[in-house]
Amino acid sequence: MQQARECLATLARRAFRRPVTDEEISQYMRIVQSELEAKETFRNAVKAGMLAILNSKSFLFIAEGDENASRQTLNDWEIASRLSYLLWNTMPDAELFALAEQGKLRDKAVLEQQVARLLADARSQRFTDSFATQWLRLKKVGMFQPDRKLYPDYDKAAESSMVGETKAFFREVLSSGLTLREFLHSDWSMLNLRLAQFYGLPEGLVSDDDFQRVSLPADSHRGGLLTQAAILSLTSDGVRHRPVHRGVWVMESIFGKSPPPPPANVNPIPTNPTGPKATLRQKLEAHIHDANCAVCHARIDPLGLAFENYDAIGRWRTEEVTDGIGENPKVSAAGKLPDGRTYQTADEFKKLLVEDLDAFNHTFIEKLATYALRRSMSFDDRDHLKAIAAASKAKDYRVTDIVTALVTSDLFQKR
Amino acid sequence: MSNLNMKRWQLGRREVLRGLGATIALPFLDAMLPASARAAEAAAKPKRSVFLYIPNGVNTLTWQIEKAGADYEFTKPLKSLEKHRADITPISGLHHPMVLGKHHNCEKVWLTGANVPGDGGAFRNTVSADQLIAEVQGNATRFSSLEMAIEGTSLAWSRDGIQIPAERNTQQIFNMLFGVERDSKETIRRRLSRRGSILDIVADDAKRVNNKLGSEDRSKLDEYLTAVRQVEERTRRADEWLNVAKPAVPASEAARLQRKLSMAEAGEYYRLFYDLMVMALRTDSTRVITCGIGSEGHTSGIPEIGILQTRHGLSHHNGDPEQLRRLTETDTFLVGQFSYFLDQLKEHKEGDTPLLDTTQVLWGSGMAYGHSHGNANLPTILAGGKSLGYKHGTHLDFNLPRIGQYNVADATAHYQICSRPVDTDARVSNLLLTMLQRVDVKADTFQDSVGVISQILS
Repeated sequence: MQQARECLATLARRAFRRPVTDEEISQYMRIVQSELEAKETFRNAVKAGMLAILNSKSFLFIAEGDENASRQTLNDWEIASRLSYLLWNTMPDAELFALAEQGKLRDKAVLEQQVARLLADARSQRFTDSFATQWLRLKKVGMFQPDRKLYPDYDKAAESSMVGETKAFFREVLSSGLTLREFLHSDWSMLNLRLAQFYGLPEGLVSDDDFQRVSLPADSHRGGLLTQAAILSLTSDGVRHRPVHRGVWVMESIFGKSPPPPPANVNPIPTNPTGPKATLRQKLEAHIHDANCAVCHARIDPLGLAFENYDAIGRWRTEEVTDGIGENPKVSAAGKLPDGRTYQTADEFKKLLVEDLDAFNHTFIEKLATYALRRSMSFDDRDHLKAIAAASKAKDYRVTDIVTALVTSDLFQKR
Repeated sequence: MSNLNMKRWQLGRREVLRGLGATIALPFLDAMLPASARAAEAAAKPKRSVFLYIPNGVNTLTWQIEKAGADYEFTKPLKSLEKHRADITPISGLHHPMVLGKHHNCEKVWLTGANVPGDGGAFRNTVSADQLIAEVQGNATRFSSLEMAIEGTSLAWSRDGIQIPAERNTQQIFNMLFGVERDSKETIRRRLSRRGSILDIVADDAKRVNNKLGSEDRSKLDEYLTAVRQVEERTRRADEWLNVAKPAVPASEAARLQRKLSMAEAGEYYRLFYDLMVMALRTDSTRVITCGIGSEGHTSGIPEIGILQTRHGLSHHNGDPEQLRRLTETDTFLVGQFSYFLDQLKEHKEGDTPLLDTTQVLWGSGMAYGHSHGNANLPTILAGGKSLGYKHGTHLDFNLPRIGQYNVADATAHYQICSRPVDTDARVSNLLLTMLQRVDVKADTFQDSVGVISQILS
């Protein structure tokens, strides 16, 4: 029985990611006892105890704070979990456990080493994949299956290549020590053969199906996150691109602001299949004459209309294929931001965003902190976030430095 | 921001736990009646409910029945229901106030009526009507409710607002309902008893800290405790039913129900699901069924009628006459399958009573005018349940008293009726409340209901 007890204690400590009490183990021993009384084998009896541990709330939930005392900061065990779930999506490893036991995890030099160690490990791909997916809403890619007739070159392989590019791009920015600017505009991307063809890039640029870093030709119309196929298509409805949705996405993901929802009683957009052909942009502009609508749309739409040169699945185009009579109309990607700055193309728009890097810096840090702390940021966190933003700026907005600055900030040790 | 705030890893693991308890959602009121009284009462009067969801609304221009009352004419897509006229009530003008204009979320709240945050913030659903019914009508059967989906997702949501997974694999459904257990009764009983003791321990452990937590944490732990309780109930029920053999399905029918089909032969595939539902009701394996026929985002085309576009794609028809024609064709097809289901429920009798008379069936969508995400005047058909106190045979219309008459030739005007409620009191929740009361759920309100729909009661 001593053997069973030790076995359960070892498992519970790992599973609960903290020291366990004798009373806790006694609970699980009760089940071993009753199983043995029911004539189960020793092995099965211990297994039942292990099952109970793996079904318990202490395994299934990450606990922060004490049952009987109130404290605002994390203890070493909790820091180990927060760090490990942030960068590995799993429980702390032996080294983190040992550091927690030695009480070293509130030491910022130690934390900095640990960030570097965890990021260097292959498991950090779980962080880059999962954070990129949540921040950029990649789950929405393919949510409305693109119409097969309109978009015959879209299929599951294309879809997974699109998502793959965006995740690999994030990973590359982090692991090669690049800055936030690359997210907004870059002269390279991470492509596989399928995507290079999809983008119509010259042959020979990409040799196989693995994602590889590729220098983009000057006229590729790509670079940065915003003109990646995954981002351009995740707001589409399967038939058309949706400029307003694209604008909302930019507002939320780059500027960290959520526009208010539209009022519920707006008139439906009239249909006009038999009239002269008009782009969706023209129809929208004709539609938004109501002053109540115009207030918000003046702020949202310019952020999406910059991408009129990309269709519902993110292919480059100069004219819009649409219903009605006559020639397909030419698209226009020109616009004016609420602050008065104007752009003619998506590339110009991206450059305007880069000029505004501090706004994006702040959004990115808030998204990252929300992800790491698993709660929304509040007014009380404001000064901490500002300090991290300043640290980011001091390091020229390098993404690895931002991650390190967050983990070594006081915010990271707050509940 | 809130999307970043989700605890993906926690949800994932909780899903595992839910996965164990998910095939049956379990009653809470169960314990209030002694088992024998429960069984006797329930056996005397089976009261059954089926909920069927179709996505993306319909071509409202060809769908709209224009005349209210008994001498209404079926429109083209609804023609196959003519033979069931005496057993159905098409209803016009209903809506869910809290989901108006909020895109495809209508699917999640069709049976719950919950509020969907318009800004994309955290969404927490509320309990669906079918689950409230299962709490009352699910006691006498092996499965308190059955969740399935052809291409859609589950319509059923627990009291904690957690989606109860639906089974999409017809062979799994067959095995669950009628398959024979490989293990001996003793082995199974031992397994169930072990599971029972494990659940006792983990529940005690969680309850111990529950009253020390803040409200937000407590609600998370409540979800966990509910999941534990559901597995407990399922364990208890599995034990209770251990000595009752699963119903035997005649060999010929068993073979038919175990065919492997796909959406490539949509009609056959749909009918297989409907046949499984009928068999589940015939054998009294359950009295509550939900089935998501399609999902708002992914519902395949129907090759056998020459339509390859997805239903979502078709619903964004932009007024193109050809797209609209195809949308009407798929509407017609879906209604045809529904009509087949009603045929089967009529054909199979329990004593002298057709199954249809003891089964209330709701067929409908949370969307009306899909092109512009209009979700007022929802396509809704109530069928069956005569012995539960329904009076059918009319077209019940909440728009006509205010608008006088329809004019579908003026598409813009009709689309407006399908986007903004004409009668703000004409709510789906009223219908769901009516359905709850017909099967003995003690409820005076459901979500935002303002009263029952007395016009359909005998």
